[in-house]
Amino acid sequence: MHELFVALGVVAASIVFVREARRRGALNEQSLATVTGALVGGAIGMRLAGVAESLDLGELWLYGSRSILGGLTGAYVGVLITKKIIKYQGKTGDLFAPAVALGMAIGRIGCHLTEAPGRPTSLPWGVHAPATTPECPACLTGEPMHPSFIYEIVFHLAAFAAIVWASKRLTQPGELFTLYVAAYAAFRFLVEFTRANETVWLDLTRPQWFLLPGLVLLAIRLWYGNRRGYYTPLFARRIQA
Amino acid sequence: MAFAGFALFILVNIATALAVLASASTRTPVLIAAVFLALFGLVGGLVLILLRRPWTKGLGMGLMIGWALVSIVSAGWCTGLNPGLYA
Repeated sequence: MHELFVALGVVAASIVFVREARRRGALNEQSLATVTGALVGGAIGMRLAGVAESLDLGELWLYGSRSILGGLTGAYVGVLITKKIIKYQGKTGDLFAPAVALGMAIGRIGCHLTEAPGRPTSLPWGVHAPATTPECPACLTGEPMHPSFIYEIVFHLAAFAAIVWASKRLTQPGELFTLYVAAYAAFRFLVEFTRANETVWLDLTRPQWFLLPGLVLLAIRLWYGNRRGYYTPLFARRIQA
Repeated sequence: MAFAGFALFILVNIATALAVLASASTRTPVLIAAVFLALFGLVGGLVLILLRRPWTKGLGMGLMIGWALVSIVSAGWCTGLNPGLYA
């Protein structure tokens, strides 16, 4: 079930990527090469992301976790390496931003259906999951839980709509991707407080500790972009002629 | 040619997975399959790309995309990763 939705997410992301590349006149060999780098880097990154849990590399490679954060980081590194190899200087992130947002929204449906939905909650929209759900103590006790993957699906769908809207306004290449990654990093840090992930130190989960330095870097990058006026077109009102 | 490379990887993948399933249920055949498929998809793909002929570049990228996509969407089943799924 999980794999089916991941596959559907990949198909949807591929369609959006091709449409966006065609719209921007960037459907060429370089963009195919960056897609290859992103997929290979993502596949390796999502598997190696479990290094925080086990240092047995053989075990990690064969059984390792399928982490979204590891996948995204691996995909980013994969694109950077590919661009170095093919000596391509152009920005490609804006092609990936809407594709990743929609693909993640669909892939997360599989997570919601098969994984522990979240921490116990008394909120009226709390959900239940079968007692057979792995690593889910609240499933055994029958407590309602946060539908954390639904929160994430809503975020990614909203992000997808915002990216489509902003893509007609932002003129600085690469900034759509920067904004999307920054928004997802901040959202993911917050939504982790409702996820069923194990806390490791100071009541924070491993993804939150992974995200903290990234959030600092992204905040600096957004401050820099804002100072340069990259985001001004997003707030400018259109004057009717 | 990228589609041809992708299709070629899928075919080799299916043959390898069937061979592993037909063998004794130990971890060794899965490890061999994982190494073989990674070499075929990633190293083979990279070699084809580095040959820098128009048709080999597409085929090479197709092989690499095949390995990555199958690994992602099948939780590593066909790429020999995640041996628990062979049980």
